[in-house]
Amino acid sequence: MKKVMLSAIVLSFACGLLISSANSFLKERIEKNRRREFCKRILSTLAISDLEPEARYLNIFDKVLVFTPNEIQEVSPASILEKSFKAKHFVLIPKQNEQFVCHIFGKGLWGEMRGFATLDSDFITLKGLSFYQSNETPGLGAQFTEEQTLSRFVGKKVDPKKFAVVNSSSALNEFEVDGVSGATITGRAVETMLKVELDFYRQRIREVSE
Amino acid sequence: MSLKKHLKDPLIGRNPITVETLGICSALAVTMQVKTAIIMSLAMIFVSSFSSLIVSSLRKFIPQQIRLIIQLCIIATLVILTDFIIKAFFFELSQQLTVYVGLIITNCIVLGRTESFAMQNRPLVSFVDGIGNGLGYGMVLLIVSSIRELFGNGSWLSYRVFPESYQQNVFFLLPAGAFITLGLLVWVLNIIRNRGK
Repeated sequence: MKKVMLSAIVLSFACGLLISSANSFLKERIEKNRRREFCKRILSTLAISDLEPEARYLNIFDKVLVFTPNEIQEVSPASILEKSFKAKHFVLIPKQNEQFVCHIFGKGLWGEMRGFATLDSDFITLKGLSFYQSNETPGLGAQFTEEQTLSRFVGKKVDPKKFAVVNSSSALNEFEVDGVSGATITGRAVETMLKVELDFYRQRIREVSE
Repeated sequence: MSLKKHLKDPLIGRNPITVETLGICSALAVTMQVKTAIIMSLAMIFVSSFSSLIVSSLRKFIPQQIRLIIQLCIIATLVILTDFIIKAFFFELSQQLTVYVGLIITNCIVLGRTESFAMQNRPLVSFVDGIGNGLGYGMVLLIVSSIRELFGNGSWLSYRVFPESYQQNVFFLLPAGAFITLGLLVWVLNIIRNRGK
């Protein structure tokens, strides 16, 4: 019995030590990867790719507006890269051109999807779309997080009534995006997410500018 | 038995997936694309070889009553380390693999090898046996994912093989397609195996 206890304790201690030391060695690198990927996704909605996404990101954006139910706060672009940043509704505003990079989120097939959608100054034309968090089925729904599918959304008009992700080979109008066959639910989720979220930002930003 | 035999046996003759039907769950889940299948196989080879090595080195000190718990503890530690390494060095792939690397902990192949082989054999032989079983698993994953990506998506390792106009065959991308592909592979490998006898 003594031997059982002793070996259990020694082993748990050794494994624990190994994992925690690996964690402290790699923690910074993992966090850096996360930030890099995050910045890369934001930049991709403006059709920019850069080898140093984080520096470019800090260079491009001027301010971030955080929307809470009652008020609007202005924060620095660097602060949203922190892990502790928890706000859900915020818009990044680039220094030069008048576009709005909106943080969007919604329910996908297996879990929450989070990403960014860039609206043009007319508040309806989509300039770019990207997701940094999703759990969609690899090969099917996950295609919505890949460049090839995301590029189909560029230039489309997200009208709260007419916008749709459709599965058809017929001609598409400016409100329709060709979806992915076999990924109908994710397609609908992205459609709803864009309609609901962008409508929210449209109204709030208009309130501010008035 | 020679070391070479321990390395070669699990490929066809005693393949963990097609003969022992272990580890089917992850074999179906990660085989939609060749890229994820390769990373998953490498992770599996690492975990299965080193867990066998460690268990085998400690086999004389592991008390019989809690041997499964100890084996699982060692496997879990290795899997978590692998997960950290993939997240730190292959971040983009880690996002595609999501939960499946973590699920190597519950993969029967790893625990099966430590319990039935490493507990009775010397460290070096166990290590090679672990690599062999990882390779056997990886080989099946590579074949199944090649078939699925090629016919499902018209590409291989993300390179386009069939022309752009190729209509995606979603059947191969769905779990049912994976089952049937794997089933046919088991049949073919069994023919090869029986011919060798």
